[in-house]
Amino acid sequence: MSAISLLNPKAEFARAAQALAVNISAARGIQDVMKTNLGPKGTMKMLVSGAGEIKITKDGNVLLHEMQIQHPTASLIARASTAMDDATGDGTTSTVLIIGELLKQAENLISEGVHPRVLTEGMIKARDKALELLEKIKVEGKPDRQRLYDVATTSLRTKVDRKLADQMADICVDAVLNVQREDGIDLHMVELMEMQHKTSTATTLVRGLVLDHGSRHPDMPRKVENAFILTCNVSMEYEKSEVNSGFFYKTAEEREKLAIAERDFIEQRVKKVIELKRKVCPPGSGKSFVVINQKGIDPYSLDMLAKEGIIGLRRAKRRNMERLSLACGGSAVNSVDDLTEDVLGYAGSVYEYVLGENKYTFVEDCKNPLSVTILIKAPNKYTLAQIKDAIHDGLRAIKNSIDDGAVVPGAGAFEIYAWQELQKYKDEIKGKSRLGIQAYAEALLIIPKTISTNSGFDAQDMIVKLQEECRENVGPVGVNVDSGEVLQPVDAGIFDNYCVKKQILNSCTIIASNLLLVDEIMRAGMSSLKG
Amino acid sequence: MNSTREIITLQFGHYSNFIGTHFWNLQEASFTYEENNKPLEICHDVLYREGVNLKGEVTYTPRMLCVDLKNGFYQLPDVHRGLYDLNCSNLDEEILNSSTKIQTIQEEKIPSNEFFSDLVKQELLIDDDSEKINIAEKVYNLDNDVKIWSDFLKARFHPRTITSIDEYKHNDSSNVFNNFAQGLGLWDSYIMKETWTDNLRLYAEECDYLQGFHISMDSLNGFGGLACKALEYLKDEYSNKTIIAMPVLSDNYILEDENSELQAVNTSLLFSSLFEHSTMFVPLTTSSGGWIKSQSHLNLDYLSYKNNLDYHSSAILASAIDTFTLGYRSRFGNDSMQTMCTRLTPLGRKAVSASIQLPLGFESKSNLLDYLQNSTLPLWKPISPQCTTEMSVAQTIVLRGITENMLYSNNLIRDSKNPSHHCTSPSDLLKLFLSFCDHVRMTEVHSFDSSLETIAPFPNIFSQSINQHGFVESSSRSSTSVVAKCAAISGLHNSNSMRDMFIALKNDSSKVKGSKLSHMFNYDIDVMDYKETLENLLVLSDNYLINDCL
Ligand SMILES: Nc1ncnc2c1ncn2[C@@H]1O[C@H](COP(=O)(O)OP(=O)(O)OP(=O)(O)O)[C@@H](O)[C@H]1O
Ligand SMILES: [Mg+2]
Repeated sequence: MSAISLLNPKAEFARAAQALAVNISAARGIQDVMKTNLGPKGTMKMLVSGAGEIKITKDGNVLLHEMQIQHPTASLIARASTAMDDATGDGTTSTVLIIGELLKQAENLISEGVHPRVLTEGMIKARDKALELLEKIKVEGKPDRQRLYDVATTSLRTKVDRKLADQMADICVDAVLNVQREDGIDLHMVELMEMQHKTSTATTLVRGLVLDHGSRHPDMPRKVENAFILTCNVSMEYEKSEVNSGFFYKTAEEREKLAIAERDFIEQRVKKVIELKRKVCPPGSGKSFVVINQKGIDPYSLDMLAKEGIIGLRRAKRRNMERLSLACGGSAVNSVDDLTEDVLGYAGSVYEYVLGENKYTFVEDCKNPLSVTILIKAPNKYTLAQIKDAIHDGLRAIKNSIDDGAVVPGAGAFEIYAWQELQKYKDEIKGKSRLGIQAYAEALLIIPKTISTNSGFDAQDMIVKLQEECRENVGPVGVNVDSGEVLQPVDAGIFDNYCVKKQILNSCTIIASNLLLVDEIMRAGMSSLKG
Repeated sequence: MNSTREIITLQFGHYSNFIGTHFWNLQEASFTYEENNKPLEICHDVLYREGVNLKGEVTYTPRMLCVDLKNGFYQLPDVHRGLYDLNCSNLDEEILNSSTKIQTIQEEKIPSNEFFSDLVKQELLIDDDSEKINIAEKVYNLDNDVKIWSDFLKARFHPRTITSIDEYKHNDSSNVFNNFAQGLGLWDSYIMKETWTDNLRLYAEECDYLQGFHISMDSLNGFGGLACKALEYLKDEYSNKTIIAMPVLSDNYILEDENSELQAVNTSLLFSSLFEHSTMFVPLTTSSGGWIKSQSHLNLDYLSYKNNLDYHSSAILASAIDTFTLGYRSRFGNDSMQTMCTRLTPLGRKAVSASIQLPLGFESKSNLLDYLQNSTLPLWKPISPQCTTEMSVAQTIVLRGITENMLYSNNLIRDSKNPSHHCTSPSDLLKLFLSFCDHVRMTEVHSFDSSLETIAPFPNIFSQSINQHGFVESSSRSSTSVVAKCAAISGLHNSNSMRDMFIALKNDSSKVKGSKLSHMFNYDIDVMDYKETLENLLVLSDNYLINDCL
């Protein structure tokens, strides 16, 4: 303990109280900004940078990243809450709101003399109970297509307008179901391809691949059908550099010879590819051949390929090598020695699309595409970004529900239910920590309250209606954002992710406790917050 | 068939971007749009790409990717953007008409400086002669206006060029990006691992004969670590390409606090990795200490620049880079990055030092022979930390802005036995001169007619005795005229004194011991690995010990 606090034991306490007040006001401040985002009727935010750059979003995570958050406590909350989004892809806004509310509840109690430690103990008990309740309310079972669609629309409607959301939900569900395999879902196998397009805004699903590059030779075909696809990671580029090393010790003649040998070496590689092409695409067979190479192909090699009617693409994305073999079959090769037919994939059609300086190659009509592409067209960058973010959320929501094997009724249903059950639970607990449980229960109500307020309805009225309905035990009830009445989220198809709800409960409890126990905040550090 | 051997430029960090900004401004100033009888000496296609925007207009932008922290730059709509933007007016309407409620959060607007205001005006008034502002002839003083590099960025970039790191903010004291390990960690972020690598691939895909990479990085902060990871990636994905690395050091990045050795440690870690992953590397700075604060800095006879302004020092370093790379950016001659590196880095001596003389100090109406005969040696000053250019085993010297008709005085009486009277080009004469007075076994000399184009936003750092064309004049230049161009010399030297640099660096960084190191790097760098790094530096410095076999 420092000298001053020894002289004046109250000093330490005063310092802590002050820090607590600072934390609480910071948490409230950030809560105020985020509040209006929540739910399908939340307001869109347009962030305009000092240089006039625009970002449009309704996503809590994006907002927290973009906003200039000066206050250290606020930025701690921001970082902790966005860390949670990284794990599940959702729930940032709710987390921030509940933290703010927990602190507000705590503020009153602490001013009445309750020790923060006692409160946090209660909160942790409440959290454990809430997690149990979550198990009770969740709807278990392998989700069918309709359920997945519901989850996706619930998520997407909180990010973009309804019409767009519903269309995107279909695409997201199809995309995930396409790439789903026995060993799980790898969302990397759903590629998002953005196209800035003068006039159109549209999102489509391509059952195959869209590559963001095209052929670099004027004589290569722009469109082929019945195409064998060779994916490889083999340089078809003549590198003078390989020859030049050891420069000093060689005569000009020797160097020239080496250069020719090197050129020849590359030529042989291309010839091997051509050989295979001739074998699998005999004249008149109606078959064609496409080479997609992760390494470079120089103009000389392109020329050789073009003469054979082969489409050659160079510098393909590393991950597309894997995706190509999933979409078209076959397997990527690292050498063109001993090429055989069974490394080849197949696509019904391969064609090029040019937009400004950008070329795109569509590899479509694959037999059983285990990798697909979602194509996003929009006239400007910020719309592209907004749609892309929303699709990311939608895809993850679908994957989460499949992985969880369960979903949770949304629209505030869980929060109302938890509030009611925590009231009962509170009575079983002795001592002051029940105050913490009470605070926790009240804090959860911020979710249905804010959803109502954002939809233009009175929060208190709504809560009273919901509490009454809930007591009837008719099953989960939530906010109808169109009418301001009570609805059955299960019937209305409003579902949240189980893992997201669980994360929200965990992280807001940890972060709020840390902020309340200011003395310990230094030691806690960020690592424990990610938990 | 087009046979340009393309180069991709990669810049990491704020000071690198300061230098880069001047570099690209210099390039753009040297473009001539008029049909000239004489083909341009410099082949800009080596560093630039041609493209088309959505309106069908042709664009010409650097084949470059730069990385900086959030808030380290901005892009003004009228000045920097717009090349690939579509008309925005109808889009704003679209937003207003949509059914959803929108709340606007507007940050404080960035004020435009005098130069940018004129630039915008000039573009608007392009056909209206009456109010024409001639930016090339106007004197600007931007010394107080320039805080970050976008404050004087005139060149326009392709939309994929700039990568902004959101994890750290520029000048954020609560979360500083000042150590190597942070940079290593940053490589795993989505923006680097996915977006940046993809942008790089898109550039590479466009190239028919990609020869290699120019890569510059801040050496004193976390960007060194990030650049190292990028270099490892290049090794993997673009093996066989030549890589010239330029670690850059600004005195202003060194804080004299308890962690003052951190900059030396960062630099050690970077240099040892450059030995492994680059073909050649050239440390660049105007401050003699490099990684430690020093009182002295580069001193050039006809420049009065302020070393505490990055805006100034970066202009000098950019001029050097623009000059010493001319050899393989020329339209004539078939030098490549590879041939230059091979020539300059024998026996594993990958680190070379750089030098400059700017302006030349060439008297107006004088001639090269007289200039050389009256000059003090060496003709240049080092711009690499804690080393000289003396005792070199190989060097490349580039002279620019001196044309053939400036070789000799009109009244020179030619002595048939004196070879120096019979040179046909500035490079021949300079080469001959150097062969007499310095004994570097392998000297490559290039000369170019093109001067450095030092119009605004190049800073006003020339002394008053330099005239508008960059030559020394007895009467002083009027305060309303600028030095529009200037002749310069710049070189790369494989000098034995690089050994001194490595030893000094090793000594400065070995002051940091175990626990302090762990503290500095938050345990992200292993103490044993670090010891090995320092040992490596020492082993490498020995490469510069023996020169008798050359
Ligand atoms: N149609 C709906 N009617 C009522 N409530 C809804 C509806 N759709 C979603 N909700 C509720 O809105 C909340 C989610 O809102 P939102 O997605 O804006 O915030 P979040 O998930 O907490 O944060 P993030 O910004 O990270 O997505 C959930 O509680 C959900 O149950
Ligand atoms: Mg959400």
